[in-house]
Amino acid sequence: MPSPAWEGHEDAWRTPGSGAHALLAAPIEDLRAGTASWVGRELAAGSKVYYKGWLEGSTNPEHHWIVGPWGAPGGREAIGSGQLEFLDYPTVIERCGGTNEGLFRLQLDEVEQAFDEGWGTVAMTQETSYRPMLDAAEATQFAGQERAFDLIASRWPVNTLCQLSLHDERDTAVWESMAVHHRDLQSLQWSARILEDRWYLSGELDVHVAREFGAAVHGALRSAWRFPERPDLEVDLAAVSFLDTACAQIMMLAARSAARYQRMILRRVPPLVREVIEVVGRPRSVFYDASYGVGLANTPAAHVVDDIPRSRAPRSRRPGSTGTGTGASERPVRPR
Amino acid sequence: MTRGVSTAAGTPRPGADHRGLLVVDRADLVAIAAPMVAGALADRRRVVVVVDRATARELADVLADGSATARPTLTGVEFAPPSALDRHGSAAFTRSLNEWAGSERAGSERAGLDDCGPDDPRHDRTEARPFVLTQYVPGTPDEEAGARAVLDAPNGPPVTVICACASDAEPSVLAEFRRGHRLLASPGPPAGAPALRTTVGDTEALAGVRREVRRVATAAGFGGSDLDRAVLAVHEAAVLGYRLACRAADHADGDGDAKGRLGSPDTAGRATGSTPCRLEVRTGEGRLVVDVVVPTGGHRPDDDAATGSARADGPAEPEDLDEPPDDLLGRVRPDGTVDVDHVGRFCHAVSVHDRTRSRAIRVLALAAG
Repeated sequence: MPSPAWEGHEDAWRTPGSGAHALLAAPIEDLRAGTASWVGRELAAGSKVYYKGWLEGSTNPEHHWIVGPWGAPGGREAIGSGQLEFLDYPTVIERCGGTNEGLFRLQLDEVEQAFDEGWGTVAMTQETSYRPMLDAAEATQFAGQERAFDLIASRWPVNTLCQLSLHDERDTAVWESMAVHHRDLQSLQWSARILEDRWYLSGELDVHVAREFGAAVHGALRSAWRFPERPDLEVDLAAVSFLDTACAQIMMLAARSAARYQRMILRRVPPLVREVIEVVGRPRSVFYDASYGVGLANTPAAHVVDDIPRSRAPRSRRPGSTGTGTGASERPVRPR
Repeated sequence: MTRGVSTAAGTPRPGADHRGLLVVDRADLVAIAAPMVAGALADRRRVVVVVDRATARELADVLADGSATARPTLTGVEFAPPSALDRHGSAAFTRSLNEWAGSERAGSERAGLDDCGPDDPRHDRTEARPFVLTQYVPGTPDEEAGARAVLDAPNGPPVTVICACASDAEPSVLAEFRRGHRLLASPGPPAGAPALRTTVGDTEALAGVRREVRRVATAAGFGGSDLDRAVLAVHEAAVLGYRLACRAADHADGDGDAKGRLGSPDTAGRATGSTPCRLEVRTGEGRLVVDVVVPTGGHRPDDDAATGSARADGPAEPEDLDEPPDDLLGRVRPDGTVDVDHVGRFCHAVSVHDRTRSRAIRVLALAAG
């Protein structure tokens, strides 16, 4: 089985001094392997780890696979020492009352507890939840829960890993998850990450991942649109090693359906990737970055952008951030 | 023996079977034509090759390992000078075609197929109609129209005509050539066993197929952008094959709705209930020929949708960048037809061949140098 795409890049998830909120999307076997690796690294780095998931056929967390022989390195010791705490989903729902506010309070309590215990950093991970995602209301509620993780990560050194089992979840749940997590997601074939207001794509984008990729593109466009002074989505394609017409069409269709006046600016586009995009048809709202001029000779000048400022005033794009520091000494405050 | 090109559906069609072929140079034409001619001879078809003297000599050398005279006849191959067909649409043009199409030999071959069982492989070909290979000579607009009037008429001469054009011809010549030759034939594969055989049962398999094709193509001398383009072309053809397989499964189940839409038929990308399409990859020096074979169970598209194109001369000017495309690339239309033009943008040639119980998408990629 090929190595997951994220191998060798795990350190990128852990940015000293600030939190992260990422999605790991894969078939169940690869999902568990990646999660075990992530939990093991967080434990090794001295984080307090909170794990929420399903207890199958048992009520004892010590029987959960994460602390078993194929689980996280050091997991069995950690659950014994209290560095790793497990909570099964029925208990989570019971404690938070099934509401977003209740869940947020639960998470803040966990962060506060970890700091009280003297841990410097916190890691939270939750297994795929098998949401029905039957209607817009549920999708909205889900998005609200995920925004809470963004808020927590922006204020405290808390790393969150959401797990998504691609073959077990409903299509709508996969779609919504990918859209919400467009900022930092890892799948077997591809990955995406927002850095300095630019959306970096990497890996192989083909028809097999077209649906989830399309969801991420829509999520990225929606997210960018929330900042009216600069609603454009800048997409860096330098690390895209393969793009087929299916994913190119998905991207161009998403650009067509984006808000009026919102542009999609493609940066560092490899020549063959650009050719695929031209074959499927590029709408007027999609531009190329002139600074990466290889192979742009046949591109109409109007679609080459060279007026994007290289530097901008630092501005946090994450909601709720006060920009006043995120050190461990800042304690979480319970919402009223 | 190298298999010759398979043209058109097993069901005989009236009129001429008229295809185009883009070639790099004379050597390329000879390399491509030799197996086509050999295949036609093996099928006991009358073969007429209408080319210049130098090409005739080279082709004869390859076929018979001997020298060719000005008008040689080589074990059934008739060589005719380009003048036999150089005035498109003229009376002489029509007379030549009718002469080749109306031979007693061709008639006897057609009669012989009536005695063949339904599974006889000869039904996979056009009904042993004469095979004419010619070099494309551009004419005036009226002459081009005249030629199409003869070759595309339902009651035209029952003959297969393959026209070869240089891929580096003037853009206007190439444009006219493509207009008049909707179907492009691809050459027979290099001789020998396939370098790779694999199947595509679901979209998840495509990444592995790409890796294998990359490995085989690298061994055949592909590198750099040629390698990337070849892999992409094969991938796109495999996607089409997969969708056709899904559609065939739908029809086998009595469900007429095509599931070959953009994206995966189901969450896991599996063509539930379908027979996987298979890929056969053959390589020669600097050449990659891939057949994506889709079992159809005898179901045929409503129309012969074999279209092909070679690499574009340059990016096409979009008519309206804002309007969404009329049809998504890579779809199987409700009538079962597919458009392979987008595949052809990344390879030398692509074509679709319908047979009795299967359909094949053939991709030809040539390495530079």
